[in-house]
Amino acid sequence: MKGKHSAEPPWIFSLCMIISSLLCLVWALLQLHPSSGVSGQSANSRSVNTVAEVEAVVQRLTSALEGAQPEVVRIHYSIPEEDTVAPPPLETCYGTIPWDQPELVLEVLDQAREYGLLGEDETVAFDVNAEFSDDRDIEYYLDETILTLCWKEIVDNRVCSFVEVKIADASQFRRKFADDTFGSPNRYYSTEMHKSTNAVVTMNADFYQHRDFGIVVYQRQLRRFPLEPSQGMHKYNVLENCFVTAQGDFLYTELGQEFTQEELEAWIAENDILFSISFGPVLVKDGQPRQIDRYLVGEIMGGYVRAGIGQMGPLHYLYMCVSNAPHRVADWTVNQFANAFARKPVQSAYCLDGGQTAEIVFRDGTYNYIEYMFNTNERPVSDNIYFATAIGGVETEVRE
Amino acid sequence: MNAIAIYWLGAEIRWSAVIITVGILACLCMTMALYRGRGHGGAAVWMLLPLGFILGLFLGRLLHWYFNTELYGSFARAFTDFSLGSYVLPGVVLGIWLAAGLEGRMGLCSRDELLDCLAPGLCLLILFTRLSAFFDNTCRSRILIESPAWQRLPFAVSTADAAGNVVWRFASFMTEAICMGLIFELLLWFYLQRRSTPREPWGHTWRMFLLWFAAETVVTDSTRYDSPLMHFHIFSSLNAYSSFISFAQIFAAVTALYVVLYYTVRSIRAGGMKLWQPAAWVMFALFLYTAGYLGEYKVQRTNMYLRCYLIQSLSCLVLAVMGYLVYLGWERSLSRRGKKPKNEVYE
Repeated sequence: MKGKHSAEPPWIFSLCMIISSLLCLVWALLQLHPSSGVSGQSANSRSVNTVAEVEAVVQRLTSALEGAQPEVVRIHYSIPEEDTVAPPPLETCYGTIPWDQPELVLEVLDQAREYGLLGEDETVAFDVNAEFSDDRDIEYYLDETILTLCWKEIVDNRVCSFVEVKIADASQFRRKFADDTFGSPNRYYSTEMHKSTNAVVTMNADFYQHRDFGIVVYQRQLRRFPLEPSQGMHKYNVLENCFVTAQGDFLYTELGQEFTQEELEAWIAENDILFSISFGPVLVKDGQPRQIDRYLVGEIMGGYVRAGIGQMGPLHYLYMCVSNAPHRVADWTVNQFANAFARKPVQSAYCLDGGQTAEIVFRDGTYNYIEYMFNTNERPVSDNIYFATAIGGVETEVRE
Repeated sequence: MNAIAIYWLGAEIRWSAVIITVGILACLCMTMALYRGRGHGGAAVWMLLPLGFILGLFLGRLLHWYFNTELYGSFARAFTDFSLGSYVLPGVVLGIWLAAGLEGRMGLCSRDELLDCLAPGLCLLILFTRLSAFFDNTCRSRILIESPAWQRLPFAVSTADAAGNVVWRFASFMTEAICMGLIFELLLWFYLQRRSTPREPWGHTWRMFLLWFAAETVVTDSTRYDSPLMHFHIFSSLNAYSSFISFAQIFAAVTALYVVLYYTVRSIRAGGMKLWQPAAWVMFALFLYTAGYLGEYKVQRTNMYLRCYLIQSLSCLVLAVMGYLVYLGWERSLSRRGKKPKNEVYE
């Protein structure tokens, strides 16, 4: 049975269509690979800073040939900035201390001082006299380049998970985006990203993909700077943004602070900014808690799971998270959280995405309770922050 | 497996592109065979390939850009840098439908007749496209398979992360390829056995394709972590309700609703209101609830994958069967009215 539209066009038309079809097939062969798009970049394995390594070898050889004693005091390790995978942590450097014997942590701290990681008089956030939660032991990782302590403490009848980190080089504080690509549509579990980066400890950050405002700086580049109006401000300054410099320091922009894209890019270059975290608000400033009654994200006046990261000193950080736990509810407002955070010896602290996103991954699994229905399941996220060991990274001889 | 099949004079051809091209050829051959079997020449099918190719890729890319604007940086880059990003499959299907519509408007063919002949071939194209993902080590399932007993195809596929760790994921693409193979068989059977009515002889195979593809998409798309989630740039307050559902799932629900409404409304026109028509609407609402809330909402917030996907799969299976029964109900309404559908003979 033929339809009413069965009149065949001239043969030249069919020939043109056949040629067009062949061209489409050739284009498909050359250009069509939808599966490779974003994730192709994730296969970016750790590159080697060849120049620095060769220079170090040449230096050693020259010293040996000249018969002179090199003035080397110690080897400084770092992780190349462009690497997407850090050196793997050493299994022997992990340790567990029973929650009811916190004094054993002092030995770990002494060892860190011997390594030169901690100064003799450097203040630590870990307090042996604190009330520790009995549902998880104290965990640590210590090598010459990083000290990581994870513990759970009862603060105002809530279970708070803490991670104190001291690193030897700022390059050990790193930012991870899904597929190492800004704007990647993919989301992964933090435990997955933790493994894929060889992190010692991984924490949630701002879940930047979940919203379209705030500033995003990644790999020194300004990636998000939305100018649209929002809440009487621009979308870029509707939040307080946190910036991490190449020296590992935190810098903040204020709510409503105005600047042009060119000014911000110049400021990023001038301050050596590596990446940003865009959630907030700033919880602690100059050691004092801040009190805020209105903020765009985080439902700050409600009682929720909260997470934040603070800086105690150069290359010394404290992450704090209040989570739901058996018989204890995490119901802090942001102001309450800021007050609790300020009791720890931090100079400044910044609020991260809490609620279902708040997560600490240490060693092979999560450390805190995760508030993602029934406290059992991780939430796939677009990004996080992590600390890694630099042993196995680039070695530089430091002379004194 | 190495993703590059051929590297010659600076140009690289990936295995995934080779497999997709094979899929396009399979689709072309299938459509041509069915269309020429109707006694037509091949010009309409030859024209459908470039037109559908351009419109399909354009819409697929446009939707992917819309949901991932920051990935591309600019609109122009989305259409010039093809090494980045991907395509939204429902957009491709929509583009091919538009191409067939354009041909119909140009008087080259009957749109519905062409779409009916295209439907089984399109299943083959989707099947091959999904299989091509295995050559890029990128099965994008969010379900991690921990048990070694299940760490094998067709249940799981191994992928490597940036640090070289092997991760076993549920084989979403393999599952979708298997489903599309089954739908291909069903559509071919439907096409060859279906009876047409004098008034509306064509379009039923295409509608069955839309329905069964929708039922399949709701489940398999849910298992992926890279599906573009529905969000609005203009009515952004709606995002609070829609942002846990992917665009493909919304598309699937809308097309399934279209098919159910199409046959129920036409059967009411043909034979008046019967009990089964409102029953079909209630069943569809139940499907939305079970697939959407009990399946999708819960599965994203619990680790009860097996339970949630079982509920979702069963509800989608019920939808697929129900859609076919609704079609039969419409046919029966016509025959009771005296417009008995006549059998067609296919050589």
